[in-house]
Amino acid sequence: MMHFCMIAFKNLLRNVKRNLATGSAIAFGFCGVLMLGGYANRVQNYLATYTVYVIHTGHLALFAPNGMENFDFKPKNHSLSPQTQAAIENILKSDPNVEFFERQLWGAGLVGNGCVSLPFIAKGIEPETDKKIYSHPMVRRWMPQFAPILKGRELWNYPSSLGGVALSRRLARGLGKTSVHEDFPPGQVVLVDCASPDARQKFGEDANVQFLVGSWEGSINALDGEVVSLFTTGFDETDSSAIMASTEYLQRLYDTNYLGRYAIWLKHPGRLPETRERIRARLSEVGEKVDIYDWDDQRMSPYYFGTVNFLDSLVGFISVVMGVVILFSVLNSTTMTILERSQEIGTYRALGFRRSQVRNLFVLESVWLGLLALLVGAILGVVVIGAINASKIIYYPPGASDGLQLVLILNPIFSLLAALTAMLLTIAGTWVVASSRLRQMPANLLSGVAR
Amino acid sequence: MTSSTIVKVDQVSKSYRLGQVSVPALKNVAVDIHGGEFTALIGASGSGKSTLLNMIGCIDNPDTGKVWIQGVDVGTLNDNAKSDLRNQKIGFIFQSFNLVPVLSVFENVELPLLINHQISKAERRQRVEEALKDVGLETLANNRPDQLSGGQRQRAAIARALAGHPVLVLADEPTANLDSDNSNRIIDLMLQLNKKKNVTFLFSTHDEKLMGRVNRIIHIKDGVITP
Repeated sequence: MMHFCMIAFKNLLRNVKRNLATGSAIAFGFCGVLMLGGYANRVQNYLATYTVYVIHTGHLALFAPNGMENFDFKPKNHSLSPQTQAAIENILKSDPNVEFFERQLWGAGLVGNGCVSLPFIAKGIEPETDKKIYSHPMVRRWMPQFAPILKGRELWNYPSSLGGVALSRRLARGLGKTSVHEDFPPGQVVLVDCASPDARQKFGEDANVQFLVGSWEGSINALDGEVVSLFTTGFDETDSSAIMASTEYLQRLYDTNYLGRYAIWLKHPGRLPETRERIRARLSEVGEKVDIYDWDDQRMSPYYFGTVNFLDSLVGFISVVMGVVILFSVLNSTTMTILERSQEIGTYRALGFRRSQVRNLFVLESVWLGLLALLVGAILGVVVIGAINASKIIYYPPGASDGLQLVLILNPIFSLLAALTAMLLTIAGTWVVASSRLRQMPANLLSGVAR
Repeated sequence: MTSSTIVKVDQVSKSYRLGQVSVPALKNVAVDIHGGEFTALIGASGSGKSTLLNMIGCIDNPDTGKVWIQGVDVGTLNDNAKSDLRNQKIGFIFQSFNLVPVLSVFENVELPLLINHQISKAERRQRVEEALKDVGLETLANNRPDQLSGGQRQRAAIARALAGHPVLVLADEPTANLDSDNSNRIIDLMLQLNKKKNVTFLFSTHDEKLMGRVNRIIHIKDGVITP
């Protein structure tokens, strides 16, 4: 075998230009696939981290029956009662794969500055969970620049008695609340005459806002809030209406002790299915019926689902195109090589080489060519990816309120699979062409009359 | 077929398609080759010499008739068995030497031995060295074919044909690409090896000058063996 490897390697040097052309097609194709894979890998993990951690979806979401579809319309009928909450928390606290969980509530209403009211959509989270998410290894790894707070400090820095809320930036601008709690002396509330010409300036002299909502019982409820931070959701569409507050605060606002859902983060996301079924079974044992959704369920995360599906299709399509280019390059090059070397093939056959042995010689040549080309492609890919990452290119995803740095992160498994596929295509191309030629009688190959 | 018969060709015919026309290359050829013979197959260009050598060398199939090599009907063998038979029983020498250009002389001679798994590495080396010594190329073992003269290349090809210790060496116009001096040297070498190693040689030529130097001549004309 060593001899044949050596012969194959030496044969590579016989037509350097042609082998360089074929090798270049493989190398550049592989480099392109590596870059594409690096982009898809980063985007997929970025979006997964954003979905699971940053927007507090969790790996699993636990709703009252039909809660996901109907909570927004009839929250009272599709929320989790205190009795159910106790059962759920008891089970989650003892589950070996639950890293942490969060009680969540959300709702809509009006927020005002005493003169102007704007619609909002509030999300109730637990500040301590938010703190864990900020420092979570997954967030640090895939979203190292994650910093949604534009001004002020996160909710967890303040006692719940303060009634702290975070306003999205465009909503804050609409309300004239461009300063936050820490910018003012404690308890500062400025009364504003809405008709005065300097009213707009006065709005910004305290951090107080007023919420007005329809309670779950059908009455109107109002509550003061203190703006502790301004943040961005990352999307223009939601930056004009989003509010973050503690779940406890929203329960007070909506005058309820019910919850919309539990978000659950897992220690080992790979064990999600069995964890989900274990939680479902244990809740069923205690007579609690709930709906549980995986984080990547299309209904839970339509943005993630749609984007990743689109990306997968794009990567798949481009990879197929590159695979076809590699295959045709190899077929073309091998056909030329084998046509030129027909007499040599006839000689091998006359010396007693079996068809399979001659074919293997050509396959070995392709293996060498493929390996060298893939090595060059990999080095090129790493260099280009490093250069792209170092150039800090900023791009703007559709609907995003801020630019995102173009970062490519090699995916070892995808890269290995791409290399294996390129190798298999190279071998298959050579196999097909060599097999076709080797069907000829050795005498025809020697005399050059083989077709 | 006597016990000394190496090759028996019986009523072998072969035609080639040339466009719509079938051109006969061999017509009911029958011939025996005996062990230790040094035989020249003589005929004009297109007479069927190479076709007959191809049939005997099992690198082409006859349309009709049979070929036996040491009593084995090669028509009954599959492609792999024919390959093994060629590797172990037949040595080939070609008009244009057909050495692999990227390999050294040593590696070229070693080539057919690499696929014979009955031969150990040490024996392989010893056989190559012996074959190179027999043809006087031991000092050029590490040279590549393009560093050799035409005569030296053909001697390397002879060494490759002999290294497998074949019972029969087939040479298709082995001197056609050589000048007369080198032609004579090659024929001398083949004769010497025939005597020294008792290897049976069958070679085709259209050079009538060689007729006096061989112990058997087969004339072929228009695909028919002539007296």
